[in-house]
Amino acid sequence: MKTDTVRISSVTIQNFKNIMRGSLSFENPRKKFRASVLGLYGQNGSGKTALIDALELLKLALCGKQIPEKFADFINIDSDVATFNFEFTVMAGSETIPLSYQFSIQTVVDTDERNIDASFDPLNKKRVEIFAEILKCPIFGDSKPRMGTLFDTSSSELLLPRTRSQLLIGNNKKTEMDLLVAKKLAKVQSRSFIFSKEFLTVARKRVKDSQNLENFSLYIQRLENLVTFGNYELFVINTKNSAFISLESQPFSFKFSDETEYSIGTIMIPLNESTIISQGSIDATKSIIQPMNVVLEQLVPGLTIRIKDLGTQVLKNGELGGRIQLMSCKADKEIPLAYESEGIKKIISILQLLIVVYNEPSITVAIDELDTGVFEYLLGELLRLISERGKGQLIFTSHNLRPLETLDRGFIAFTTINPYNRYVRMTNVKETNNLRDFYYRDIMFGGQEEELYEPTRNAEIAFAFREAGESRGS
Amino acid sequence: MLRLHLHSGRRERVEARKKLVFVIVEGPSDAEALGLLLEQLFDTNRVYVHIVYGDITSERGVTARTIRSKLGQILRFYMRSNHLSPQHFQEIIHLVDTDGVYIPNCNVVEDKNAQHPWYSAWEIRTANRESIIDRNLTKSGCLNKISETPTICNIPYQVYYMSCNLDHVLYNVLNATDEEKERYSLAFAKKFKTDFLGFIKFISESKFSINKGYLDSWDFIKQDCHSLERYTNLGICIARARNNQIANITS
Repeated sequence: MKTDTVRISSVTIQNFKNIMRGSLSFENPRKKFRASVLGLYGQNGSGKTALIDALELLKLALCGKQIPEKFADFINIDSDVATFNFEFTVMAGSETIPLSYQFSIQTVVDTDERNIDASFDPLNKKRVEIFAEILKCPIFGDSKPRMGTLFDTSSSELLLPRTRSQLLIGNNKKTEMDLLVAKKLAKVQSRSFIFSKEFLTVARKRVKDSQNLENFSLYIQRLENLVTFGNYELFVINTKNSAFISLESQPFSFKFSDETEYSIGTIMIPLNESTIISQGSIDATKSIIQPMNVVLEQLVPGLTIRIKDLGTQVLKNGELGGRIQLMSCKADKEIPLAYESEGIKKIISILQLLIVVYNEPSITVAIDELDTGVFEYLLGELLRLISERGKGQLIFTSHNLRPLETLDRGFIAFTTINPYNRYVRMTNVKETNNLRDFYYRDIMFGGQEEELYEPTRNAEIAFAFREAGESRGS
Repeated sequence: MLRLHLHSGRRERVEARKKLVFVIVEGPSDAEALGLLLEQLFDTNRVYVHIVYGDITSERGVTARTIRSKLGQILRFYMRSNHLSPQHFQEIIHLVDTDGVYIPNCNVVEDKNAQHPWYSAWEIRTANRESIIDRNLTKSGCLNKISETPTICNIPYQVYYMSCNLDHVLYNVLNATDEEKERYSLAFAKKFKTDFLGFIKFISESKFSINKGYLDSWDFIKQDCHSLERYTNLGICIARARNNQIANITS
């Protein structure tokens, strides 16, 4: 099972943030690359970050985690429900299996604690409900397996289609009751039902107990593919994460495995002071830093980072830990990493993930504003390297246009100014065209079927600047 | 390569594309006064207002012989830095001040008290008469040359005058200081921002509007002291742009 790799092949988003509808394929039809890269470009406020947010939502759903309240505000103001559809490709041995997972979210106002009708109180807490989850995969029948619905939670019944519900619970009324409760609970707790612990426990037990349900165990295998993907292989770095850097903390996102276990997560290590962390975290951080330094030295010549041990300490829980400080080393001189430039801190914070994307086909990393603080030339070369020789999946947004010149054009998509068709690929590009120039000209003169840029007029801007200055009294 | 692509098969799409109208003015306040209105005038196209800091027609070393290559340089530099080629341009519009360059030398008057040349509708007072006469000779040569130039870098080119300068035509003020220019230009842009037709009327139907043919309008400004008086032929440009607009709408 470990050898299965999952990739997101496309996404469709509806009524989310400023996207009424947007559909984007992550596949590059032009050439067979091992890596899957997608750079999304567009004007400010045109839906780039919304894509990363959608992927974050996917990760939360697949992990069975609670969807934070902030997503309630992300549902498009003109709609009640935002819907997402993700398609995946699972590579299991020599087989390529398509999968799709669709779900919707809506906002529910919590007035639970009071027994009066106060549904309009602005102080009411909002929460997100995830519902109408539909999982599709090849369904086995009499003839060849055909893509069909595996589980569908949209009805008030436990699950549709009934045949699959039957497969899952057999004739056990108690299990059915328990799952119905779990379904309600997942809703209240803003979690996915299909990927909830309760659901998976029942499914796993059923697979174990009934040896003769071969097809069922294959179905659950697909479910497990997505669970593994969400938990261990999909990383979403939004600007909030990189804001940690400004909060004087360095996130170390990591994913590595030895023979015994997977290890994933983010360790936050403060930059401006020493900190006490557990021995386990120290070991994990050290094992991340070592391979990172190999690359880092090449990217910023001569630069490495290390953990400075400031002595053993006893943690609150009685375990041994250590006081450490992150240092940057250049030309035999050590300074606290806190005093390095923002750009260097940014590179360090995402480097570990770029290393795993480069090496592991099963990894998907989505990064918002990848270019912030990274020198243009370096950004272009890094992305070229990953796209040409890497193995994993990288999805990023950027304002810097240099990657348009260093990446294969099949790796690039653009946002449009049409909320009903937010994402497009550039058409009419000749093999010899420089995509960056082409994009620039399309911004200036138009020429795509969908407009890519809400025209801004320089004289209007200049006039507005002057007028604003005047009303300030300057 | 791109040109090949543009001229083969995809003609319709390319023609539907906007084009760039490249406007050359002499200073930031000129751009401020007219930029907004020019953007409205060429609404279906993109307008880029290029500000030349100072008057290129009287720049050191620029003569009737070199003025065209000077303009070519400006254009080529812009095209290079924006990855454009001539086919992306609809036209170049150059706005120049006449500064009284066509007046008889006897109307350039020596005046020790004039720290800067002082313009009026009948004379230029200056502490250095020779240099003004010199400038007039060179600059009028330049203007003669460019007013007869149909293209720069294969892009249709036309030059329109503000006599004796932009402040004189737009605000009826001569010898304005930089601060005054800034103030007047903002007031002008504000006044006509929401009254585009008023702007057209102002430029095309005022006493100072010269609505002859393009070359005739240049002949006119060369006579007597016209290049010191309040005149502009910008109305010709506006009429042409408006006709194109109407043609676009009806086609």
